[in-house]
Amino acid sequence: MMRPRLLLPAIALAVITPALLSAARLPHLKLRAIFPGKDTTVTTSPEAVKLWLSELADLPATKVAVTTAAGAAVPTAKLTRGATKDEPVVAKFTAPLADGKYTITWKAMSKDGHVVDGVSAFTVKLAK
Amino acid sequence: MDLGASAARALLYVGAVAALGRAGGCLFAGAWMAGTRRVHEARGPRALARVAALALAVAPLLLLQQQLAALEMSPADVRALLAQTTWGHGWSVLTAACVLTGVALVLPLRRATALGLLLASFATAVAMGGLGHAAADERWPAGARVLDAVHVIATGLWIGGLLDTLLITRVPGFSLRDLAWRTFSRTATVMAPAAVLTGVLSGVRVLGVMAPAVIVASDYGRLLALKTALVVVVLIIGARQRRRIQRGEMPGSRAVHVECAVAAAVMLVTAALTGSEPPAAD
Repeated sequence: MMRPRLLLPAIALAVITPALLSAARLPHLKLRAIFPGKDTTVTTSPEAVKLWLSELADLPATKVAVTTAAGAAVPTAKLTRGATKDEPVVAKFTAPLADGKYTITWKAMSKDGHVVDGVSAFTVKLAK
Repeated sequence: MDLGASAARALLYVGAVAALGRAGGCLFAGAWMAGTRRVHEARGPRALARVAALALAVAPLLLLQQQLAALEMSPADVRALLAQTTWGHGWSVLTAACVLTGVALVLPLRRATALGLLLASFATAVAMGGLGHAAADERWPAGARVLDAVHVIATGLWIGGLLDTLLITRVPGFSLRDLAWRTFSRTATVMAPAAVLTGVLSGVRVLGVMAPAVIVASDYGRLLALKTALVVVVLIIGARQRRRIQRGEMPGSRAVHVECAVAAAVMLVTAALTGSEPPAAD
């Protein structure tokens, strides 16, 4: 139970503080870039899918899956990543890709437990 | 919004707040409670302690189960999740703190166990920051955790203290009702502003400076607005009851029940809020 004369300052603080402070907002895990890029067409078989995330992802909680237009899973090696968040999470293909449309589905966990996911597609049209 | 994870967090908040209220009720009222600590062993307060201990036992397991489901992991992946991720480390610490708090809640209440309960529930409050938005704050990692911990502790001593006082003052034969309410009122006078201040600062930390229209366009913003409105209702009811206590009257029973119900709604909204994604500035 609150002293009435503290009530008004508390409410005023609640309203005014956000306007006065210029704190940057809390960053959350986001996909910064992906290779192959979304809806792009590549003329050589990519060696890997690469995800650049805004946080250093914990690999046990990161998933990358690639499927063909028919829904078949494309085999990839175990995920790897560099030591900094500027380096991508890498899922290397174990065999070259044939012509066709591919879908990448990915999932990663922020440090606070938020699970972020996304879908991206690319097309392989090998130069003859 | 993930209802299962929100329910798990709501259980965690209820358990932590009830534990803090029980510990604070015993320790901060030490001078007059010395001979009457037994009132906390009466049926009502004891039942609340057991419910809180159960909530603290179940909540971490539910959180883990929800996280496994969200990540499409199997039980075989639990070890890697706990040992090799930041979230897993936070969960392990929180679970240890919850177990200690749960044990302290069901032990017979003496001065030493009350102190143990207070320390364990403080540890739970600190550990809760390891699974919330504070864990993702790379700019002020320690500051964000401290802010969250102080918010949980202040809220627990305020709202948990209200619930504890309500229950002990309903124990038949308890003769120090007015003293109990005055002690609670003094505690709440410090803890309610502390809870509001740390809550506001946490909001600023998460959102930064953003147009209100952008904030309320998101689930997070709407939940935050609802939480703010409910907190204002609790503050207004609390302020009125405080005036009654200062005049030497007992607080209105109906008003205190409404205050507890709205505070419970605040915890439910907070549980959903913590699981929501804050709006993007761009």
